[in-house]
Amino acid sequence: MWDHFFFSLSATVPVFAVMVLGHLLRRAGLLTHEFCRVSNRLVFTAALPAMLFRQIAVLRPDQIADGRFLLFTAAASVLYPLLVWLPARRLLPDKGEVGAFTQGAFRGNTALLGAVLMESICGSLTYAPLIVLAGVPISNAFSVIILSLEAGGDRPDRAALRRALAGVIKNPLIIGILLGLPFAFFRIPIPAAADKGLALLANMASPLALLVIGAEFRADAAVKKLRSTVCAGLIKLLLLPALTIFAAAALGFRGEAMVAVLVFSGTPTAVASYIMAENMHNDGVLANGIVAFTTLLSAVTVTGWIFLLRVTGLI
Amino acid sequence: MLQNFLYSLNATLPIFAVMVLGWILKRVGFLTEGFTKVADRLVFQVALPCMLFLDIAQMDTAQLLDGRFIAYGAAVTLISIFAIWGLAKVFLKDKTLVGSFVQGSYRSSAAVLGVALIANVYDDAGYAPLMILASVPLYNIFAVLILTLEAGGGGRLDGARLRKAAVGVCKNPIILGILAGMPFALFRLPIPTVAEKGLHMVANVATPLALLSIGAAFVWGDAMKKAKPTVWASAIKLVILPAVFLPVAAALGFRNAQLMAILIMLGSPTTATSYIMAKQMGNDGVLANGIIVLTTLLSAVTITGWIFLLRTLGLL
Repeated sequence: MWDHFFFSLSATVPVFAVMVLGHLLRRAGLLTHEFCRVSNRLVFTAALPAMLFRQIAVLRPDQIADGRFLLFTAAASVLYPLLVWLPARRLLPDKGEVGAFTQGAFRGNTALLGAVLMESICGSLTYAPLIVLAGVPISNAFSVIILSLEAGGDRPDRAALRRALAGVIKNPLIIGILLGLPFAFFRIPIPAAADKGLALLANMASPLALLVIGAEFRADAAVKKLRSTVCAGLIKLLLLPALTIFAAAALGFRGEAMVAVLVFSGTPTAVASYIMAENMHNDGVLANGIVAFTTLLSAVTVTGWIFLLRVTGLI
Repeated sequence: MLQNFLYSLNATLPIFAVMVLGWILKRVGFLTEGFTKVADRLVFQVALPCMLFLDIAQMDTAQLLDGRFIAYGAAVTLISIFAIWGLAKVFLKDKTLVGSFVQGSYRSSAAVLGVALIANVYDDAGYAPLMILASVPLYNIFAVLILTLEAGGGGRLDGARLRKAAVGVCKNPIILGILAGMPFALFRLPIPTVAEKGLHMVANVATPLALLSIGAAFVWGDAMKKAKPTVWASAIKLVILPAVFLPVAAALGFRNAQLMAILIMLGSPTTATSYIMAKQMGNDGVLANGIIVLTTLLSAVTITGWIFLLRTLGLL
């Protein structure tokens, strides 16, 4: 029992410690908002694509062809937004919150936290690009659609919607993965020099992302719209993971695949969701609050999920 | 021969490429002045101390048994530091350049070429850890000393300045990282996995951020104004130090894997983080920057040349 407990802690503590460090450095004035803004872009357009490319490129066809897993995560990515959105439309008293609430409750931080958590929990990265491949484009697309349909004020702006959807296709993360695929399928080794250069960039993806998440964390944001924030957060961190893990267990996923299912479903809300909600005229205050709340609470819930899966022998 | 050249190129080209990437990203407005300023501070005050702490704490001090090799490595390091420092103080007309010039001339990046190249020639890393043990702590401690004393052009050493320098050294994040790592190395204490994972993540941003920052800060016109000291420092780093100390090592009987490790210690390009240290401690950033760019660019050729020469002489 204690073993499992320490195992769970040792997987999550380093990850959250780096976030806390980022937060403290921001408070001490060392990290600035400008640094976080540029770092975010650097991570999303260079470091993270480089990391995903390298992870995919060294996979071999038999691993990628774990079609069942890919299908499962893709199906979950489609179901999540629908499961949240339809009830939210009916039950939320303030209709202006629906877009931000829905996005905050379903859109996980898979791209930034997936690999670092996978590596920390099981020391292997095989499934990390798969959950990004299945999850990121679908959740992105749903976020764009839902936010534009729920935008306050005018009718949905068609031009903006088209631009945003085009952005989903041109997502650097997806491009990184797609570029890696031929290397995987045709078993082409990455030239040593290129691989080392990409590794240099890839190495800073997770730590920089964690520092920035911590630095941009605002505790006061979480309490502004407390009820909606807590409700969306609990859906994100408890309800959806519970459903997903239960389904995955029933379908026979075990070990590393199960860790990937947990990481896929249990990560806190994507940081990008706040910026996107603001840009698309949804409730930015709520979106920001959900990011902060889930980030904080996930330290406990993710640890708890790992513990639970260990105790039940699923991982 | 060609294989060694390709290996060196494979090690140095990526480093150079990330610097070029930083340069491009700055030119297109992706990286901003405000970003690199904070990135430099983050590396200097947080990431680099974590990296040094891990480097020092995880040194295998059981290796200290090969005293002769360590003693030679440490002696070479000290002699070259003092010799370059003395000469720089006499010959450099612009005294504000002394700190960056000295650091750039002696401070090898053992990690860039070191382990990979040695392993390529001898199947295992061999003497690389020993070489790192002999040189890296001294490199860092003296870098802090020199950069503190030479900040802003140095000046007369009176009591007040010396006291200020001593305090500066004691509070320097690099030194604190090394000091914190010492007990772990000496008493061979294990670092808890949780702490190691976290520190490792933070340490991982040091080199890439430093490389991007070097590229972002590189301005051709500024670099050309300091072309002469840049070329001199690079020549000392890549050619003169190996030319002086390799024959001595050979005469002392070091051969094969040992000599190879000594070559890497002497002839590697200047380490990227030295730019951050020079700049953060009030020394000339442009010169420090130029030396790293030039030595990284040329080292694949010079290192291969040295290997070829030592091979021909039957020493490797």
